[in-house]
Amino acid sequence: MISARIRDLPFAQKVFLLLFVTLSVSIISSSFVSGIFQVRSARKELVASLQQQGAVLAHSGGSALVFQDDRFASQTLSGLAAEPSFVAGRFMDENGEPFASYPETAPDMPTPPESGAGHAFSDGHLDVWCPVFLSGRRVGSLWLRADTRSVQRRVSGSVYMLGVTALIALAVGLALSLPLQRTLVRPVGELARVAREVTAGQHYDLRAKKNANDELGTLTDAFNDMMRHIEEQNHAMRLSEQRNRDLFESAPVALWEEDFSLIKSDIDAWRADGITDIQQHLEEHAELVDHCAGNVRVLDVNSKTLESYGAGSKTEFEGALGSFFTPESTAAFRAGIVAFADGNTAYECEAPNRTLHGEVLHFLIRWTLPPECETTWSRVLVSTVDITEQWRARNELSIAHDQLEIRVAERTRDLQERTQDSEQLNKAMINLLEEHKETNRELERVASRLQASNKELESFSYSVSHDLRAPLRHVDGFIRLLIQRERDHLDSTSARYLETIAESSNRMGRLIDDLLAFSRTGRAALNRQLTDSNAVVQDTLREMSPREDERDISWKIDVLPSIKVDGSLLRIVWENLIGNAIKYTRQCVNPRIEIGTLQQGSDETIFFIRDNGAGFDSKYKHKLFGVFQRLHRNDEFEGTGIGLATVQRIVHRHGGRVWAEGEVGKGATFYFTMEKGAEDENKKDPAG
Amino acid sequence: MKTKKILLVDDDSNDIELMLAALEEQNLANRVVVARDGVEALDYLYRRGGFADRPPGHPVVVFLDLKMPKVDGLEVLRQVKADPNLKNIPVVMLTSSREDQDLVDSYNHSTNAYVVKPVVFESFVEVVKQLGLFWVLTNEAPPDEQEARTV
Repeated sequence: MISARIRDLPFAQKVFLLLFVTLSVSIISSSFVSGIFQVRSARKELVASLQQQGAVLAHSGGSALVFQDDRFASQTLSGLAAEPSFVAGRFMDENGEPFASYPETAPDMPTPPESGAGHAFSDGHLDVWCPVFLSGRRVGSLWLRADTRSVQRRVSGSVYMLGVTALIALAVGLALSLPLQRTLVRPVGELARVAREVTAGQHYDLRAKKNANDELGTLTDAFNDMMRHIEEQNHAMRLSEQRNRDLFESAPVALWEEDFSLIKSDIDAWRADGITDIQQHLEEHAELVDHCAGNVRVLDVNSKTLESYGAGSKTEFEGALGSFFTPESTAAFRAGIVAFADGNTAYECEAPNRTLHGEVLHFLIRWTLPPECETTWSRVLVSTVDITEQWRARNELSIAHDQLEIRVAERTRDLQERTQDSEQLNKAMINLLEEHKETNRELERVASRLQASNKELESFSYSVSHDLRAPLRHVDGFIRLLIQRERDHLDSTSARYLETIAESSNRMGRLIDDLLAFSRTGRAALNRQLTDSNAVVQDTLREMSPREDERDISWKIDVLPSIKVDGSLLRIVWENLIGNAIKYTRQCVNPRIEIGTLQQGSDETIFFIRDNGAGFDSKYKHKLFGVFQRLHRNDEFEGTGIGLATVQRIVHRHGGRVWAEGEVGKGATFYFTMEKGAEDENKKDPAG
Repeated sequence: MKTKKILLVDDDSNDIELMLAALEEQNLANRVVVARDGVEALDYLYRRGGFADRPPGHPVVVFLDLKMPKVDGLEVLRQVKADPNLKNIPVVMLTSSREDQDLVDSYNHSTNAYVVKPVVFESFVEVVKQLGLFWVLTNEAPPDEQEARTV
């Protein structure tokens, strides 16, 4: 296109073209206008002149017309022949019929206008019509024709002159504008040149020269500023790049720059094929993973990487890239691809890689996709850290942990079993304790019942001792009084009856006393003190005022030990035993009573009392100590049958034993102990 | 010379009869004043109530039974021994009870003697004889200070 070609013209040429076109157009148009103007005025002149001539002729031709003097008319007309442009003329009458023409060979007249006046140009001629009046009456019209040659001549002359003028003007104008062009074009060209040079050679240190303070000057300044700015930036960037470079190279972590763009395009292609689950796709087609791995381009690696993988150079490294992969790292690689495909920009994994030395080390691998490469994957930053030591340590720890867990599980099982056992034990113990508590409570209840019953017994015996004795006393008293009063009037039988009554009530009194004593021996608290048995025996002997037939008893009493017993109860024991011995030797000829001890064992003292009196039938030995049990009739030997029961109770309360041996007619021996084994005075004595 | 009086305090008429019979043998029966319970006993001693008109003068001994209705022997003993006018009067607890508690209580209240009435009449007579002989004849009664006034 022309417009395109013009647009791409050099600036100078454009400026020139502009000026040229502008000047040309203006000059030509002005010439043209002037030319037209001239033509019009020429024509106007012609018309005017012809009309004038016409008017003159019409004036003089009027009478000719009326008087039909055509010769005169033609003559008049011939006067116009002097006019060079005159071609023809004609008078017409009022009907439009030609009247007189000059020359005779006048061409045809074109149709006149309706008003009979006017002019018309045609074909190199000018036709003019004038009405002819005579004394105010229209008598006809006049037609005049002139050729426009003169006009044409004049026109061409003007045109020629105008053309020349135009050209001259154009040349002058262009010439004059040349310096102006230069002031305009040169700086622009200069700027353009500098810019071209800058971009072509990347010489950002170049500056354009500022020529003027106009817009171009501003542009130049701006350009220069920009150049300076770019230069600075370039410098800074170079520094930064250098720093990055240094960082990259000298980092203690293995850093790689890789290009995954081929992989990305593969994935895009798969997606375009309708595959939505990249992971599944890769899992199903394992060879694709290797294909992707092969498509990884290594852009750069730092020296630490080379060191880690045992490569001597980058080329060696690149060449061996495929050998790094192990099955686990392949799987990790696949997972990373999937992660990126899912839109993640970071991926981290631990995987074993094989170095160029054939060693398998464990690496912590991190992929980072910089933001500007998110869609292309053209740059992926990879860091790999050798964590083989930690991995091993972790493995060992894990193994140890597992073993520990196993052991812990075993121990826990053990513990559980033992806990169960001990729980069962606990339960059993608790049960035992409960039973024990229950037993204790039972005991307490029993104890308190006992206490209550003891209290009852106390009040009972109190009543007994007081209230029961009174009637007995009365019975005996009044019987006696009666006997005294009626002594003289009573026969022996009546006297005997009364005697029996008194005796019976006395016996009852004795029974009551003995029962009371027996009961008291069970109730009273045991007050163990070291007691001198000798003293007790002697006291008892003295107390028991001997009856007449007991006076000649021969006593043999050993020295008796002191024992820790309740003194008052011991007295009761000796009272009963000695009393019995005395009683049952009453019918003896040489009554003999012995009191002493037997030693049997280190901690047991056996007391005995032996008499040679009536004795008892051994067959009924078991009845000796029963309550109210007697082995003799009342008329043989009186007694209540409680004495020995009382002795036994007291001895048993002290934890001792009592037994007897005897033979009818030969005598009896009673033995008792008061201590059982070790001293146990702390034990609470059960009533019994 | 004033007759020496024995104050016998007992609620049981049988016991009283027996006592009187026993004392009769010692010719002491006419000196006996009988009070049937603690109230009468105190009335006698304080010369009030039914005994307001008795001739003044303390008894030489009081034979006091324990178990009596209304005011019992222990209470009488306590009051007598607490009253400065009466405390010198000899008091003999004469009772069927042999219980330790009664003994302790009586001696704690400053009884002069404690005698258990025997069941067997013979012994009973013997005991009464001894008591009577001793306290009336042998023992020197405290001199009468002022007459016992009605309280």
